[in-house]
Amino acid sequence: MSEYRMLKELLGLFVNDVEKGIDPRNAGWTEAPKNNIQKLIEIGLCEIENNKVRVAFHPLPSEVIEKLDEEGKWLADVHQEMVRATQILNEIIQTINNPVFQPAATFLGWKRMLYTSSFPVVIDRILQEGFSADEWVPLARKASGALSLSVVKRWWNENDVLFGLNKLSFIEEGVLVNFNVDKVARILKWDIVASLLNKNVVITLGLLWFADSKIKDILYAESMVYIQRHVWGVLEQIIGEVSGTIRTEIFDTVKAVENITSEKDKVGRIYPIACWNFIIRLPW
Amino acid sequence: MLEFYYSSALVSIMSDERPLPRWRRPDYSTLIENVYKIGTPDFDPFPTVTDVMNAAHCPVAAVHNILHGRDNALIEGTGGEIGMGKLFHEFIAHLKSEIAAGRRVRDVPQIRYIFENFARHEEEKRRMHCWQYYIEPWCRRKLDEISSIPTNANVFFEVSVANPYVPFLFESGERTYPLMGKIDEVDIENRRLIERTTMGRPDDKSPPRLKDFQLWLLWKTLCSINSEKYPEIWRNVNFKNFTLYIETPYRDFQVDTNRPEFERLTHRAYAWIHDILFERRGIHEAYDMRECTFHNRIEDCGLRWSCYGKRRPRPFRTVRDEMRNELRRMYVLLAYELIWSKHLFRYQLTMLDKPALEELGLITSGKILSYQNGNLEIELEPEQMDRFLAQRASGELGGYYIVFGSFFVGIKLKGNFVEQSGENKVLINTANVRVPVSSTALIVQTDPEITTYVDQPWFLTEWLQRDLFSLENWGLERDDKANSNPTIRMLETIFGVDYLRRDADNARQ
Repeated sequence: MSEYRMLKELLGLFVNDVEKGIDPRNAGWTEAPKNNIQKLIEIGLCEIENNKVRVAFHPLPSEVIEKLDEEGKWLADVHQEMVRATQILNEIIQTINNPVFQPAATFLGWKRMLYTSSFPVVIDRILQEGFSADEWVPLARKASGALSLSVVKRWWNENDVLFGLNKLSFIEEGVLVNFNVDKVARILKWDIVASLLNKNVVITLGLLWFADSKIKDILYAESMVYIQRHVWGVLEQIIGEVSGTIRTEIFDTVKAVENITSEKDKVGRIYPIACWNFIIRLPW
Repeated sequence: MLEFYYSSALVSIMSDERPLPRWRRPDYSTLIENVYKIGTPDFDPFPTVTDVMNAAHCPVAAVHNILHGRDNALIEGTGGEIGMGKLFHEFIAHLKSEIAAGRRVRDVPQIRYIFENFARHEEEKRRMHCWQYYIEPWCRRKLDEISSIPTNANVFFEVSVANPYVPFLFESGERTYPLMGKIDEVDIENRRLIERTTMGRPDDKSPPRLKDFQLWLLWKTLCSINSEKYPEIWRNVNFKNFTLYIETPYRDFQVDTNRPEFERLTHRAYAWIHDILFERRGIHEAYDMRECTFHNRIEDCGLRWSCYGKRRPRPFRTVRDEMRNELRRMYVLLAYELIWSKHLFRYQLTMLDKPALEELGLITSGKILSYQNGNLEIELEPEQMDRFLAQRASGELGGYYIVFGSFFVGIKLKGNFVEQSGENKVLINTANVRVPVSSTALIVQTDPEITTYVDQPWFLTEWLQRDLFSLENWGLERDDKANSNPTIRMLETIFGVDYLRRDADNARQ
């Protein structure tokens, strides 16, 4: 068996283990095969431990990947991304586990959640406040920082948020100064919405969306699932509830927001003012 | 032995030994459309047997089915094989109907002659293939059986079944779910239900993947229907005692109806459908709990490419985040749109009474006066005639489904409006009428299992989901090619990292 075929086999074992749920840091070990393995170890493509061998846990050189077949390239791509995913996950966990950074991370997560929602609101409310339909999305997006801050401020001191942002090297422009924020908040009935969000819901959504911002360029389901699974694990520890309970709480909160902010039309039919499920939501 | 998983929301509920969440049906206001059909639906979908099979097959297949408009994880055949199962089954239905109508068959060459005539519009290669690999092996082992079909035998094909409350055992009680589907053959004479497939090989020891589950679901649905909803001639038939068979071209497999693992598989499938639609973490969990690993891939899964395909870096690396946010929101919105339209329609047909359906303009009822040369002459009630014509004139109608029996159990035939043949009479052309099970026809404007001819083209929404998913997964490997590719440049412009100017000839550097 050529060394490239051997390498592909080891990559396959690694991906297979990861798909079975084994942590990538411990994935892919197998009994050391006799042929060609020494050469792969010498050039740093494999690592050996206790008579077991696996593909090296670092990105493979591109000239090596080029020599693999199409499936081998796919495996190498997934492997490379998993290596990166473990690093990203470390960074995320360090941030969200640190009480100093938690308020800022929660704020950044909420901001990302709101910004990416595009604020689906019924058109009448937008027009009532003097916005045109075209203006709404960019203006509401600009207000997402201020709206997020108003949520986070209910549970933390504003200075803690800004301090954390500073430490995380985020420069927040226009968080507080935006003359349209009041109008946007009125359209969304944001004061009522914020009052319905308990701390668990605020932290969960904030930290999950913060983690989501760190995995923007992750491509494969394997790495995405790995990061999500671990972030949820950390969240369960922070909040002290199992994920099912947290999810139910979020689901119930969104329903409550929808019910309380709904309005009646001229013939008495109730309608939600916004698709809240598409605004306050878990990342995917 | 099958292993069973539940998504984590349900695991937590089940570990507390509390019942599974109720499957939510639309309330009366929603059924009569007295609500705005916007936002997140407050009821769960009304799945078909195919939807449930996909979700039982693999949670990722359910994601593709619900959000990406792809229900082909379990489809029979690929490439030129697509549609072969339909031809196989349709011919057998035709052959048996002919025999039940009095035609005698002596041998396989005679059946070949009938097949050639039946499939004359098919490509020759396809016709030959279907005969050689599927129909001939089937005929050789079934010749005696089909030769002895008596005249006017009570055998029905493509029988539609639907019920919003199909019960499935759960611990010491039961849970109910909506379900609909189509039974390939209901053989009242021999008290059996048959599901026919071109999948399988001569030396198979068990039926093709999940086919037994499919037939069991259909049988459960049929048995769950109140006998008052059956066509008159079936009112005294006890379907609980029927035998279930999977027929491949080469073998028959009897399906045991007492299958506790199928009950659990059903709960699991419905849990996935619910979570994928309404709980976003359900999608991550679906990928986490998918059936395959790299070394244990289901080779005949129609969606294998989506799990084991390389991503091209462009436009992925440049605008992936923006594309992902926009497209994924659209998948969910389109899925909700389907629930508000297609699935609500299924609930309406099975949960509202006839006057309410007529009042909403969803159905028009009438009586069959005659049937000649594929044309059905139907007499409508006078007050419905005007509505019928008005709807037609406004272009709302283009195709009709004619239901023999009821929406719960019956045979649905697709028809096209030909003309108004008299006062309160219309002529509907159906290409192929076999054995109507009731003399009362209900004309439905559209149907849950529609094809391209009907006027509420829900399939277009599914196509849109499918196209978006293709776009999300499409890309190029090499930067130099990507920089001059108009689609990539357009995507990168729309999603924010490139500038395109009209008439400019410079490729992006």
